[in-house]
Amino acid sequence: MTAGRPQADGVPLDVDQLGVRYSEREAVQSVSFRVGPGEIFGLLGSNGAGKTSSIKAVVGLVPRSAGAVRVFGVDPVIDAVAVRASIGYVPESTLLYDALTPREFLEYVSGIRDRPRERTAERSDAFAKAFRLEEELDTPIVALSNGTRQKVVVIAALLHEPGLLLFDEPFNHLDPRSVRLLKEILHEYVSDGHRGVLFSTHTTELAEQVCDRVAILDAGRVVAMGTLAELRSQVAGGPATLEQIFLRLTDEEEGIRTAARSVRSGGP
Amino acid sequence: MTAPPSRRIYQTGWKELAFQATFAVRSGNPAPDGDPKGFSKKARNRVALSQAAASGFLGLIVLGGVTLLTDPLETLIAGPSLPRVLYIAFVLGGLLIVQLGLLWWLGLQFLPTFLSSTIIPVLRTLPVAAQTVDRVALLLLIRLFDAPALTCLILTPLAVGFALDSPLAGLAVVPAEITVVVLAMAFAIATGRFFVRNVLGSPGGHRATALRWTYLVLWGMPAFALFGFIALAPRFLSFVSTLSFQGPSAELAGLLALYPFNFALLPALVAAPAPGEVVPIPGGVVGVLVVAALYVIPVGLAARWLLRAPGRLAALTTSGHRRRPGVRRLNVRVPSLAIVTKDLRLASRTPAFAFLILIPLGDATLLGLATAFSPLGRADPGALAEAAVASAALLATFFGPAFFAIEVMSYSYSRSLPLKARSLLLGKTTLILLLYTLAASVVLVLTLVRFFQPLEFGAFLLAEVPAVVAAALLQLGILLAVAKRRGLPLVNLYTGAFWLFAVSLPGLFVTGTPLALYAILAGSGVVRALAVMGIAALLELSVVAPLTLGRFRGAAT
Repeated sequence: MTAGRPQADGVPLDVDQLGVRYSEREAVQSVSFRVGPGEIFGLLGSNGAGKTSSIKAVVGLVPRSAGAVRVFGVDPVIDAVAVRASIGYVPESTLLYDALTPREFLEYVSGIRDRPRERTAERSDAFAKAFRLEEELDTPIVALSNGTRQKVVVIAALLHEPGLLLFDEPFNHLDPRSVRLLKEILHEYVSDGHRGVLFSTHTTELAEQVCDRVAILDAGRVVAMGTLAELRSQVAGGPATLEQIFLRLTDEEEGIRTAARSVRSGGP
Repeated sequence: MTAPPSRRIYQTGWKELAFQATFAVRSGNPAPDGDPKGFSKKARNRVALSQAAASGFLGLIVLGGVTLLTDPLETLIAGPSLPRVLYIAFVLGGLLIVQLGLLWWLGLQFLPTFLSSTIIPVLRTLPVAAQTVDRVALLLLIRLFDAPALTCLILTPLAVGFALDSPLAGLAVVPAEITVVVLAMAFAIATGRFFVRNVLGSPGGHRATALRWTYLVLWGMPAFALFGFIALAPRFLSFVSTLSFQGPSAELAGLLALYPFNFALLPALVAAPAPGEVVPIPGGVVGVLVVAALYVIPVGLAARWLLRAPGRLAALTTSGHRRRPGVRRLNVRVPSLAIVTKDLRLASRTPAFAFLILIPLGDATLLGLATAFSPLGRADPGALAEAAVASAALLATFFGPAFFAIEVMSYSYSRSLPLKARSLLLGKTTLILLLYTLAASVVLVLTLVRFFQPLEFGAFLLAEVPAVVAAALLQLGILLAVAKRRGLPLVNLYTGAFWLFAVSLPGLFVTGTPLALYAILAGSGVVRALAVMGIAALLELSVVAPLTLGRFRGAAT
C-alpha cells in the first residue's frame, strides 16, 4: 500500500464482527460494515453508542477485543504505520499541540507523513484560503477558538490526500460556512471513485445530507444499516426523516416523551 | 463542624490536579486502563512519590551545603584569612540562592499542569465567591510546593543548628528560609504570568522565536544557581576573603546588605560571635538587623500579592497575534527532523521543557566563563577539557529522556500518525546530541580564549560523541518499551521523577564509562587515553544501537 494513496482496486474499509471492551464494559459488540470505494458511510448513534470506539479501533488507538479490521486490505494491528499513512483522522475532541501554531503543526504532521514539500505547501495554502485561516496560521493553537482548531485538524487530515477519511463528529464547532465547505469537500473527495469516508455523527440531519449509507448504532450494536430508502423500508409506518427512523429503531420515541414529561413535572 | 468552602473545594481540586499531573488527560493523553475507581488514589500516590523524590534531592543539597560549614572544608576552600562569621554568611547565602533557584524552577514545572487543569476557570463559572476561588488557587499552589518547601523550612534550620553546634543559629535561619519559600512562589507565579502573556501566545517566525528564547534565557538565570554555586563558589569565597583581608569596606558592606547574604549573616552572628571583631556593616549587629528588616517589606508584599495571584494567573487567557497572510510556505522536513523541530518549538513556548535545553547550555557557559576569566594561573587544559565534556555529556543525557515527555502532549492525536519507532528514537537522539555538541562547544570556544589547544579539546569532544548517542538510544529505548507496554509514564519532570532517575542512571553509566577510562589512563599519555576512550565509546554504541534500533521496527506506539 502506498502511503497516502488508495489502492486502485482496494476497499477503503472493511470491519467484521468488531468488538471493543473497556474493563468490564462492552463498548462495541459484533459491529460489521464496509466503506466502499467512492462512498461516504455514516455511523449514527446516541452518545455512548460506540461510534468513537469503532473509529478508534480502526485507527488502532484502542485494542479490539474481537473481530477484524482491514484498511485497503491491511490490518492496523499488523501494520499500524501503513494504515495510519493511508488515513486522515479527525478525532472527536481536538487536543492538539497547544504550543504550536497551525503552520508549525501542519509542518510536523506533514513531516511525519514524509510528504513531498511542494505539493504539501500548495495544498496547505489552498486549504488555508478555503477555510479563511490565513491570518491565524502563525497564532499558537492555544489562542485559537474551538472552531478554528477544528479547521486545523480537518486540514491536517486532508493535506496528504489519504485513501480513507475517518471523521469523528467533524462538524463540531464549525461555523455554517465551514460546514457547507466541508460537505462540498467530502463529496468532491470521493468523486474519484477510489477513496472512502467513514463519518460519525449524532446529528441525523447531517447524516442524511452527507452520507450515501448509514449504520445506526445503539448500545454498541448495529441495529440497522443501508441507504435512507432502505432504512425507511425497515420501519413500519414509513417515517419520513432519518431522525424518525433513528428514534423508532432505537426505541427512543416513547422514552423521549416520558423524559420530557418528567422534566416538566420536576421528577420521574 | 463542616470544613470551610475553600477547604472542601480545594480537596476536590487537588484530586483533579493530581490526576491531571499524572495522567495528563487534558493535554491529550488517553484515559488510563484499569479500574477507574483507583485512578485518583494512584495519581495522588504518584504525586506524593515524586514530591518525596524532589524533596530528597533538595535535602541532599541542604546537607551538602551545610557540610561546607564544618572546619576541614572551610580551610580547604576559603583559606585562613576569611573570618568565620563571613565564611558562614557566604556559604549559607550560597545555599539560600540554590534553594531559591530550585524551588522557583520546580514552580515552573508545576505551572503548566496547574494552568491546563482548568480547575480555577471552571470554579469561576460556579456560584462561588471570588475570594474563595482565590483561596482555593493558593491552597492548590501551596500543596504543589509543600513537601520541597517544608524540606527547606525544617531541614535547613536543623542541619545548620547541628553543624554549627548552636540550636539558636538554626532558629536564626528560619526567617531566611521563609523568605526563600515566599519569593520562590512569587517568582514562579510572576514568571508564569509573563509566560502566559508573552510566550505562550507568541507567534511563529524566526524573530518571534529568537525573542522567546531570549525571555527564557533571562528567566533561566536564577535556575542556574546550583551550577553557578558549584562552579563559582570557591572563586567567590577567595574574592571575599581578599576583600575582607583589606579591612572593612563599602564593597563588603554592600555585598552583605544584599539578599540573601543579609539573612545569612544572622545565624552566622549567632553561631560565631567573634570577640573584638567588627561586623562589616555600619551599625554592627543592629545594622544587620535593620538591613534584614528592610527586606521583610518586599517579602511581605510578595506574600500579600500571592494571596490572589494564583487565582488571577489561572484565569489569564492567551491572546494570540493575528498576522496578515504572508508568503511563508509550509516547510516539510523528514520525520526525525520534524520531531526535533517540533520539540524545539514546543520547548520555546513551554518553560518546563525549555529549561531542559537551557540548563546544560547555562552550565557550559558558566564553566567556560569561569575558565576564561579565572584568576588562577595553573589550570590544566586536559582537566578542563575533561570537565567540560563530562559536564555536557552527563547533563545532556540526564535531562534528555525528559524530552520523551513531550510525546505525552497531544498523545492521542499523534498516535494516529504514521510515526515509526525508529524516527522517534532518531529524532530524540539527534536532539540530545545537538544539546551535547552545543554545550561542549560553548565551553570549548570560551576556553580557547585562555588555552588555545583546539585539537585536544576537539578530539575529546568527538571521542565522547558515540557514548552520548549510545546513552540516548538506551534511555529512549527503555522509555519506548515502557510506553508501548503500558502507555507513556512520563508526564513532566515532577510527576515523572521516578522514571527520570530510573532511566537516566543507565545512561549516565554509558556516558561515564569512557570518561572514567580517560581519567584512569590520562597519566600514561593523553593520546593513548583518548584512543581508549573513543574505542570504548564506539563499542558501547555498537552494542546499544542494534539492540534498540533493531528491536523497534513498527509504529512508535
